[in-house]
Amino acid sequence: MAVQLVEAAGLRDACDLDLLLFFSRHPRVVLSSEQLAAYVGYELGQVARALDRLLEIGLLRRMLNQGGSGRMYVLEVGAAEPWLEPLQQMCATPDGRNTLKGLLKQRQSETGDASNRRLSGARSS
Amino acid sequence: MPERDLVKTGIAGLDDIMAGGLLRGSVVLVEGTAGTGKTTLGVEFIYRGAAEFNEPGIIVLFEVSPDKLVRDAALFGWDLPALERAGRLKIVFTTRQVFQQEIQQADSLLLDEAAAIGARRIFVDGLVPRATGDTDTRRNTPEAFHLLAEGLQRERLTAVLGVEIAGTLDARLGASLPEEFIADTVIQLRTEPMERAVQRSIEIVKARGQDYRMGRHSFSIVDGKGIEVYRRVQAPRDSLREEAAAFDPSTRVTTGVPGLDDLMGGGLFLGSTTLVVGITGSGKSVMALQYVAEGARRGERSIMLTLDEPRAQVLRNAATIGIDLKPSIDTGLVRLVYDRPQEIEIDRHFLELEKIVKEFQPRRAVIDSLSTYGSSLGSTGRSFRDFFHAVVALMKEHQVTTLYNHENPELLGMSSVMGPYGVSSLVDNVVLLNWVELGDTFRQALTIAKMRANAFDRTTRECEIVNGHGMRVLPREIPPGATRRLAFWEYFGLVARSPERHAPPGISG
Repeated sequence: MAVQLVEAAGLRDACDLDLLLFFSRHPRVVLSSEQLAAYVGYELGQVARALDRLLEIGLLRRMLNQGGSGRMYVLEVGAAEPWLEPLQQMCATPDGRNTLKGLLKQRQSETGDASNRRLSGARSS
Repeated sequence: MPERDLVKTGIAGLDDIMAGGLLRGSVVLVEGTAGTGKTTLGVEFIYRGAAEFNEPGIIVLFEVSPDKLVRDAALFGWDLPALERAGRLKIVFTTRQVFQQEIQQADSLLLDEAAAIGARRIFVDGLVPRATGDTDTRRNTPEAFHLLAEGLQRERLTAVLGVEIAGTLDARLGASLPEEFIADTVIQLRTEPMERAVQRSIEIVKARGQDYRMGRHSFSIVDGKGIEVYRRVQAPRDSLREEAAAFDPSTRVTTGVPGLDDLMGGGLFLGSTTLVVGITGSGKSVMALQYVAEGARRGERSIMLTLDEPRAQVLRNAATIGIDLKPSIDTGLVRLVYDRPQEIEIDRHFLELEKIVKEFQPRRAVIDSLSTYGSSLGSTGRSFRDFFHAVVALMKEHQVTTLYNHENPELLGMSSVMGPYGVSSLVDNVVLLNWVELGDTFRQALTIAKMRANAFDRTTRECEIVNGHGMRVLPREIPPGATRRLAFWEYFGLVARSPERHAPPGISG
């Protein structure tokens, strides 16, 4: 179940997950990047990457204005409809959220190992 | 005079005390400490606008997360997600700092969002006034608030701004916030201690360009409904009610107590107000039940409002004197209304009574008893008198002939009609029910002490209550051989607690 949810949502790491959960609780926000980072509790760089990811896969829409520091983010609920509620339910308990985070960490390290292997293979050849 | 463009809040009772609603484009401050109902009021304003008045709206939140707001609103039956899906509502989460910037910018994202759904209303929850919290003086100045108000006005949005007050409103000792001078309307919400209970109150302290009902009105937050505001019962009613405050001296309403109508010259006048005073057990409730039953017998609608005894007890009491009220209740001729006397919210109570009278249109009414209202409102101050005045005016406007029972604490005789509750001057008729001790017997006495615009029998008459039959007033003369006791007329000082027998005929001092 956890694997399917992570894949359906296109999540890569814990920051992606926590940012998505933040937007599921606050589907329409006007915040600066710094404020957003403070709300979810990650480094600004991590949040920027996670935002790009959610924007790229179409879960989020962003609007900018010229003068202000705030950007409007709107969660595209329609795109997330089939899996968002099960994901929220799973993350409603610390155990469920930790399971998903553990899975994301594991996948991240596997991806890292594989790319390391590819890199070292390329070097040795 | 040009017609004013009023925005109905849709909140039960609020538009009434706002003389119809808010002026369009107003900036309204709703102030209060935590838990006073600011968020509920603001959300209901937006919900009613979008759902009932075709006025889409925006809710701006700084602290409460939107998912919690949606959850809480569902308890009142307000489906906010459905309104969002229909493009009639947007809930935006932001910070005070960003909001302040946004509202001042011509290309504001937030105002673009408002324009996209044609928003006419906005609720901003959790503004912090300058005097109480936000220490950033660059953004938190009266000028900054003025710019905010200007931004909202530019968009022609009617704005409700929830303002968190630290401490209590009363602790400010009348000092106004700078924001209050700039805002068009200021509404204060309070929770006020009443003995060991708490009552919610709402006060309009300012409403630029419009009339409003002054004073602290009470309100409730009701599951499944939302906010219900009850106009302060003491607040003056419209002049029509006062003008109608006259009984009809050409129509009589019979009491249902054998012998009593004769003392009154045929009965009570239609629309008159009668106070029935006596100690417990002296027959006030029995007289009231007979009055209601008499109405049912004649096909006239009656209401009996009891605070002392619940409905089942009233029905049992009636049965003991041979009155079966149930069929009359079933056919809609009689309505029994019971309200628990504990912690009675007098404004809500009066509003409900007003609704019943308007809808049911009774010809007769009984209030049992005034003493219980007195216990709730206290005998000092104007509360009780103003409340009673409002009930009397309501009943007269609708020409309801009403009996008000009042328990007098004196066991024997009566030294004053209502003790500390000095309202007997407001009533048209006063009937005294007394115990009189003669020999070794308590006997029941009835005296009509007052009857406006009518010649009436002023003698104190004996009456009796018989199981299965109820009360009746006995003839002045006791028929020969009927009893060995003396008639009341053979005594003086009956009500003055010291009855003495007149000298027997033929004996002189």
